[in-house]
Amino acid sequence: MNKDKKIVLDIKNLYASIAEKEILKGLDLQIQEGKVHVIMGPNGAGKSTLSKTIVGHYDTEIKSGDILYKNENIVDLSPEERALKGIFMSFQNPIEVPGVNNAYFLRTALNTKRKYLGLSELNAAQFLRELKKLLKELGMKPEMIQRSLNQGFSGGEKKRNEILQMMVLKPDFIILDEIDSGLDIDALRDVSEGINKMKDGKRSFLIITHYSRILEYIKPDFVHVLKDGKIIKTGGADLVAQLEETGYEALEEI
Amino acid sequence: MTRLLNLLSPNEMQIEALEKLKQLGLPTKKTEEYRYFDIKALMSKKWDRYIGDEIDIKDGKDIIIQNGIVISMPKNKGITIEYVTKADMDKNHFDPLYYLGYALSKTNIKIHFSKNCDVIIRHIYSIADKLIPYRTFLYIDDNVKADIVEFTEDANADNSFVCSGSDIFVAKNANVSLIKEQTTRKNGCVCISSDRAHIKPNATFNLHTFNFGDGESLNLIKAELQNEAHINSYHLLFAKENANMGTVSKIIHKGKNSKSIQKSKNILQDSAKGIFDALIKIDNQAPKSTTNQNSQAILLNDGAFMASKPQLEIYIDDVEAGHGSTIGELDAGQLFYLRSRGMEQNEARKMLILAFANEMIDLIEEKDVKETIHKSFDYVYRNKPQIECIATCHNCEEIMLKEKS
Ligand SMILES: Nc1ncnc2c1ncn2[C@@H]1O[C@H](COP(=O)(O)OP(=O)(O)OP(=O)(O)O)[C@@H](O)[C@H]1O
Ligand SMILES: [Mg+2]
Repeated sequence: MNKDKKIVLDIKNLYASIAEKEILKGLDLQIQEGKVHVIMGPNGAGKSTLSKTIVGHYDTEIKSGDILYKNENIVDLSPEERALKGIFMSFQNPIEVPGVNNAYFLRTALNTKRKYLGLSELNAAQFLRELKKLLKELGMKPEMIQRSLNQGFSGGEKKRNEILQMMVLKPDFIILDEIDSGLDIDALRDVSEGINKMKDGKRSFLIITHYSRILEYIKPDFVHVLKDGKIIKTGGADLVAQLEETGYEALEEI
Repeated sequence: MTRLLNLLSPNEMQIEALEKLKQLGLPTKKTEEYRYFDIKALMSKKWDRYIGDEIDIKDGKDIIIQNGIVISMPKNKGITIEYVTKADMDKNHFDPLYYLGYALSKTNIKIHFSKNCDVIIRHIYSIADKLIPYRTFLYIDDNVKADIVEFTEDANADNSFVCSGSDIFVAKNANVSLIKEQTTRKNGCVCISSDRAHIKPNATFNLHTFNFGDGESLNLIKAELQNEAHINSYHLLFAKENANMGTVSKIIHKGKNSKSIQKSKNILQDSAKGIFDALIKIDNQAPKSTTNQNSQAILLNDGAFMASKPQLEIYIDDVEAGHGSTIGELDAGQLFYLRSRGMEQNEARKMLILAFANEMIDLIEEKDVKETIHKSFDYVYRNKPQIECIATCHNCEEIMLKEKS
């Protein structure tokens, strides 16, 4: 295999349904290690369904096809196993969890991961010291971690909180489902910088977006178009400009 | 039980209580309030009544009442305690065991709060196989703010039956918070606490009840609200194994602009049974009153059962009322969210259950009391108190966040 083309995620001929409705219809996609992949596509095309299928969300049901992650088929793994192996998805609509303290949640998640990796658990003081730095970087108010997880957070605050989780957990493969929707200009910059800091040449990203704006901060290596449950076009960063000009209608199915 | 009611030389109050008890009858399986509780076993047992001897009350930090006898109390807090044979018993309580308590106890403990204070009352039960009847009166004066916490401690009172409760008089403009924590265990003592609260104009009564464990306990509460009076009534229950516990209440709005909020949260595990049978009644003398009643229950597995019956009865137009009741499982979306961050399913479930309970526990303002209740919950929930930071202990965060970076 070509050395600079290591595949971290390999989706083959994937058919998946939600509520018995077929959404993904023979989807193929390869994500390369250390690269930034972008998926664009019309509303309802199946982008969120794809990300939910990768992380094992209970809404989705795989009818056929495989998802190989680091050469292992993960379709039968539990969501937590997938997470521990390094897959992370930031939700398009992060759910509110009243009563679960945000800092406690983050620390439990981190310690679960550390335990899995054979590392020692962090106590509250050690953890909070680290967390404080990240909060600052993300321009998040410290109070946010003392509140219940996402409860009453504004749209933008929820998105920042997803990025905070990403930065704490340091996953290997990161799916960002419309992380840029609902962010103000400053937040978009903070969040993008947070993502850029995570780039280390090995970590891979799958960014789902409708807007080219975030791609001015985060340079994509590959751009895919998902339409009607399939990837119908793949190109480089220049595909974005082309799409903005012509729209999805004009795209011919391959 | 009837054998016990042949009292030797009863006093006036006992005679009156016996009379009321006769009218209502000892509770049976058919009695509305005890429908879901295993009352038959309790009533058919041959009980020995325990009546302790009054002793000199020592000076102490808390009010300690052991088997119905006051052991200690704090001096200089504006609190006075005396035993009384005459007091203002409710003439119209719905609960027969309210009167049973009065009929069987010769003296009653009267606790008077004449100035702002906070106090812990510890009820300790330490004798086995006995019926322990006693009643307490809590008098809170005009304009006084009193924070009262009642802890119940079962110190080897195996198979005893505690028939207790308070009459609480919240005077004009007073502000009273009463927190009652009760953990009962299998084969420990059965606790039935029958309360009555009289809330005078412009007064506020905050009631928080916590019933945990694998034993049996029931809170029965009757509360009356006068003009501009408020009650906030919160109930958290965590019952496991064959536990049988709950809250039966009647809140009656008798005056205009009165306000009630009642929330109950219930977690049932194994084959435990939970009860929330609560009526809020707005009389025709109570225009412009508002009420909101809500009950939530989570059944953790198939054998668990919840009888949830929130009810509103409104006899006048000009009021605002809301009410709801849900019984279900943990939220699938929340569970997935936690799992997608690497938490094992069981851990995620635990975290959500704790969160559900925490919402109720966190309503308590006083930090030490809150911690104690968190610990009792944890103790029952995980069979051990969690020494480490718990979900809602924000202390370390506060300290860390203040620290200069
Ligand atoms: N829980 C569900 N039940 C029924 N249909 C669903 C459910 N979730 C998604 N769908 C349907 O699946 C299709 C694909 O939805 P998906 O969320 O994957 O689209 P998307 O490409 O992410 O769109 P958007 O750009 O609007 O976020 C849509 O037609 C949607 O209505
Ligand atoms: Mg979507």
